[in-house]
Amino acid sequence: MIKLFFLFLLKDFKNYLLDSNKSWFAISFFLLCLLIFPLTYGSSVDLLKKTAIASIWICALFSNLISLESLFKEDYQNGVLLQYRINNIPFFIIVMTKCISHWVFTSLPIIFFSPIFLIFLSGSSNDAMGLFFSLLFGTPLFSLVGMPIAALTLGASARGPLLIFLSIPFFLPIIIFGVLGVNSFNNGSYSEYYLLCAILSISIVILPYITIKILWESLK
Amino acid sequence: MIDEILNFINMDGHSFYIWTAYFIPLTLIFSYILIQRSKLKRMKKYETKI
Amino acid sequence: MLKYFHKYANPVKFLTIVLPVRKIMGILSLGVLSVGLIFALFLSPPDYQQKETVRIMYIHVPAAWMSLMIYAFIFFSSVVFLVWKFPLFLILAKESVTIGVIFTFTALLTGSLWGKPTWGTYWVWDARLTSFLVLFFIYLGLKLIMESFSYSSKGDYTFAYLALIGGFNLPIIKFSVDWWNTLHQPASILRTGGISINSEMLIPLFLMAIGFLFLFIYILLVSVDINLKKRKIMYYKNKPNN
Repeated sequence: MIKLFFLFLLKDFKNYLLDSNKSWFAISFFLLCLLIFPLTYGSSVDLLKKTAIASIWICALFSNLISLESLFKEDYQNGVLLQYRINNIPFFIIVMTKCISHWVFTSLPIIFFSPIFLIFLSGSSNDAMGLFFSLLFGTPLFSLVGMPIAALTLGASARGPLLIFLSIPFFLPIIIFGVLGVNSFNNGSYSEYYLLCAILSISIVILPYITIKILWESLK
Repeated sequence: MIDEILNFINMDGHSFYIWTAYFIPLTLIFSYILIQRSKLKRMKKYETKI
Repeated sequence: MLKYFHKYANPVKFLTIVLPVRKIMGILSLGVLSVGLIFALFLSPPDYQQKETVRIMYIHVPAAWMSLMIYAFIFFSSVVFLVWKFPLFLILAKESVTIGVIFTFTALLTGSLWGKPTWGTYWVWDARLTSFLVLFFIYLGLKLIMESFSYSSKGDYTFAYLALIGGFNLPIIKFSVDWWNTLHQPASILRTGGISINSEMLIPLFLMAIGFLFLFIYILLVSVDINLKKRKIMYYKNKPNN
C-alpha cells in the first residue's frame, strides 16, 4: 500500500516536472499577478505597504484557482482514471497523491519565497514570519477544498469559469483567517493559526473521502 | 381624502425606499409564478397530444 | 413511517396527492399574503424610532427566513437523494433553487433599501450581510451547475454533492465572517436593536412569513409537476416504436 503510494507520488511528480508548462505555470502566474498590485496603486508606497500581505494572499488564491483546472482533467480525458477503477487501485492513493503534488508545485514555492515577495512589495519585515506560517497552514486547504470541486465539474461545459465561480465562496474562510492571522501574529495571539490547523485536520479526513465518492459517480 | 392618500404614499418622505422594496420582490415572485403556470399549461397540451 | 415514505416517493403517487394540496396552497397563500400586506402597509403602527421605514421589515425578514429555510430544504433533500436514491427528492431540490435565488435577492435588496434611511448607507460589510451575499453566490453556483450539465444525468449527483458541501460550508463561512467583523469593524453603527417588537408588528411579520411559505410550496409543486411532465414527454418521444 505504502509502496504503491510512493510509486504514484513519484509518477505525479515526474508528470509535473517533465511537463514544464505545468510546473511553471502557477508560480509564473503568481508573479505576474503580484506585478499588478504596485502598478494599480500609482506610486504611493504607503498603500502598498499596508496591503502587501493581502495582495500576496490574493495572488496565492488566484494561482491556486487557475491551476485547479488541470488537477483531474488530463487523467479523466485520457481515460486513465477509468483504468485505475477497472484495475481496483484504491482511489484514496490517487486522490492524496494528486493533492500533494498539486500543493508542492503551486503553493510550496510561494511559501518558501514569501519573505522575498514581502520585501518586493515593501511590506514590513516583522510580518515575514507570520506570513510564512499562515501560508503554510492555509495553502494546503486551498488544494484540499478545491479537490472535490474540481472533481465535481469534470465533464461540464465551460468548465474553467464554472470552477472559479464555485470555488471562491469555499475559499473565503481560509483567506479571512490567513490574512487576520498575520495581522494578529505580532500581538502574540495565534488563535487564527489554531483555527486554520483545526480546519486543516478536519478537512484532511473528510474531503478526500467526498472526492473519492464524487469521482466514482463521475466514472459511472 | 386626496390629501390622506398622498400622505400615505409619501410615507414620511421615505416613499422611494418602501415602495421599491415592496414592488420589485413582489413583481419578481409573481412573474416567476406566471411563467411557471404558462409552462405547465403548455406541458399539459403536449401531454394530451401524446 | 418509512413505508409511507417509500409509497409516496414514487412520482406518480406523489402527483396524485399533490394536485389538491397545490390548489389549497395557491388559494391560501394569496389570501394570507394579501391580508399580511394590508396589515403591513396600513394597519401596523409606525415605529417611534424608524418611523415608516420599519414597514420594509415585513418583507425583508420573512424573505431572509425563507431563503435560509429553502437552503436547508435543498440540503436535506439532496442528502435523502444521495442516501436512498429517490429521484423525486432530486427534482424537489433542483426546482427550489430558482425560488431560493429570488428570495435571497429579495432579502439583499430590501436590506440595502432599509439600510439607506436608517444607517445612512446602502451597503455595509457587516457579518450578516456578507454571509448572505455568500449564500446568494452559492445559490447561483447551484443554478450554474444545473445549467451546465443539462444534457446528461451526471449533473444529478454533481448537484447533490455541491448542495452537500455548501451546506457544510455555510456555518463555517458565517463563523469566519463573524470573526473577521468583530476584529475590524466597530459594531456601533449597526445597532438596529432597541426596536422592541410589539404584538402589532408581529402579526404582519408572521402573516407574511406564512404567506411566503405557502407560496414557496405552491411554486415548488407547480415546478415539480412541470419537470415530471417534461420527463414523461421526453420518454415518449425517445421511445423507438412510436
